[in-house]
Amino acid sequence: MALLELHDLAVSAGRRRPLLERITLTVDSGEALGLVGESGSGKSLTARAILKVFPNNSQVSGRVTFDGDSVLDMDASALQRYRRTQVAMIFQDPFAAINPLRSIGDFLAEGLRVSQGLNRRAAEERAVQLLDSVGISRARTRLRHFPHEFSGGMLQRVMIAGALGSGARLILADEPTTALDVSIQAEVVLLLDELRKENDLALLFITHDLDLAVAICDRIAVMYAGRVVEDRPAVQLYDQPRHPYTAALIGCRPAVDERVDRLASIPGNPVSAATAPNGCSFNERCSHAVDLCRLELPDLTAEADGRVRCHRSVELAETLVSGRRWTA
Amino acid sequence: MTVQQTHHANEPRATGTAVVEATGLRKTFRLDHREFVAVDNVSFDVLRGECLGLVGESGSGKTTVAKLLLGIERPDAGSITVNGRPRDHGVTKARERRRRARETQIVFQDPYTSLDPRQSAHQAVMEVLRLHFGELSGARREKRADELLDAVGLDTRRRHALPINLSGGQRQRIGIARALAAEPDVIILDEAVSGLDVSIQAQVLNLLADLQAETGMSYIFISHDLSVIRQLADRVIVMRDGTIVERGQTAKVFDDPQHPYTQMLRAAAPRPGWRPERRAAESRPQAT
Repeated sequence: MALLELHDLAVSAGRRRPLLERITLTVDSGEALGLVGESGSGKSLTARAILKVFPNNSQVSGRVTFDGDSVLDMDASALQRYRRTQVAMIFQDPFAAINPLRSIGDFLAEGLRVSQGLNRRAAEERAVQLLDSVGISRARTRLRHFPHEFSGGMLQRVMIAGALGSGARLILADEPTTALDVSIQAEVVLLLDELRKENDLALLFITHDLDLAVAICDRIAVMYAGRVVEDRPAVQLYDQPRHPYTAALIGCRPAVDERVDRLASIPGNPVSAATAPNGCSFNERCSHAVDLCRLELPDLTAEADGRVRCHRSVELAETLVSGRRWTA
Repeated sequence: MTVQQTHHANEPRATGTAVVEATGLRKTFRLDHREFVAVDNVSFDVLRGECLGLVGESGSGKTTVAKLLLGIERPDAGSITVNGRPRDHGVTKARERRRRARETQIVFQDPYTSLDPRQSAHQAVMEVLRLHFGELSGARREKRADELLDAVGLDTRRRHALPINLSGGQRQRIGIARALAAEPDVIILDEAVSGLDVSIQAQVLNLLADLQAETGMSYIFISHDLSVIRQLADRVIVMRDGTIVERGQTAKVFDDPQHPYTQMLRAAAPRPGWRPERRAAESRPQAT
């Protein structure tokens, strides 16, 4: 049994407008799962569902299981314990996720006192160690600094230090480097990757950037319109995509080492679960769609190395190309 | 407006004449009684029909350069000429402002805050046409607005919708149509595709290439994203801390970067086979 399991999770809001549809995913200790998709795909909603955070007036069905316990059935105190000590979330904008009026030391110490029951003195010592472990020098001085005295990259390291300090076994990172400069992005994803491996953490890495996801994730689940459309080992998914959407997503991103005559593009706009057409959600934008795709929703079918939601995945297996390869 | 693909990758599109010439630009700001140099000794030119890329991280001064070109900020030193005419400052006459708007237009990063929320795409474009082409009949302007909105791919229903009912990509198309409406010589695109979904970003990049091939406009394309610069820019300028550290043909600069900063940027850009690397100066102590 994996550390985190989502089984047939469905969320709909007012008048049963669907937001997520039958999400089944697992993340195990020491494993990094990338959740990749565009606007409206439901990737952030999925991360919030893992914390039992849902939009107002939403109906929820299915299961979320953490280390064997049903998260959706937890009472208030169990849920508080779970959120404080088992799971940590890292957001896109660290400045919006931290109290600007309190020092970095207060932020870290408060987390350590509530999650680990440390006293003030012990919490400060531990906070120094944590800042050290995320590569922030002069840690003891830094504890007295306020968020506005940090750069975005440094503050994101503080958030990661907070996540480590809570003893969390699962890190939910929602576009954690999107607001950072490219050079800082590389350092922050490297830090997440190293800490995950050293501490045997489970990592759910949410991003719109497939290249970034492949670099640090073992497996990738591609989402479209509130559904998982492909879930396979990262490099295999990149080199030999089995869903037309995955292939198109890889192919339409410009490359830093090559200018092409014309970028492959996907016609139309990304849709959400609520506005998706009948049949396969992607059928209106898919260059491989046939009548069946417009009539019937394909299942997420088990394949040799993962799962794919496409009627034509078997017959397209040889022809689907993204034009890029991860491995030379 | 018909849109045709007339150029091929890596084939220079530009002709020899410079539309914009910036020489020795310097701009300082005062922050907490300290002087902060945002742009220092920056010189470049933009050829007719060319796309010049401006790449750099936050604080590199790339947006300040855009503001200097538009006249939103006044340089402390240096000069800017557009079509050979110096851009003197302190000019406030409406006629002169209109003439300058025919020369340079800008498309901003955030299509959520750069549009009037009460104005549809059609109204936004018509306003620009009324301002600059008042001599044309109403019917001619309507026809031109339709052509422009066709060119950026906004269908009939969407061109009459308010921005709140449109997606980020659709709003960015309004921004581009509005800039095109003035028929400028140069469009400054400041992180204009950075906030868009990947699939929409590709559509907009293709659209920009098509429009340039057809109209012969020049672009100044500002971005932190090396991949989109590679796709669109003929030449590139790499900026850091307000100064230019490297410049040249985009292919040459990215394939064989000479300056250590450009080399670092290139190494930090995710791409197939990429592994994030630690920079030596800021290494993390190994866990003990």
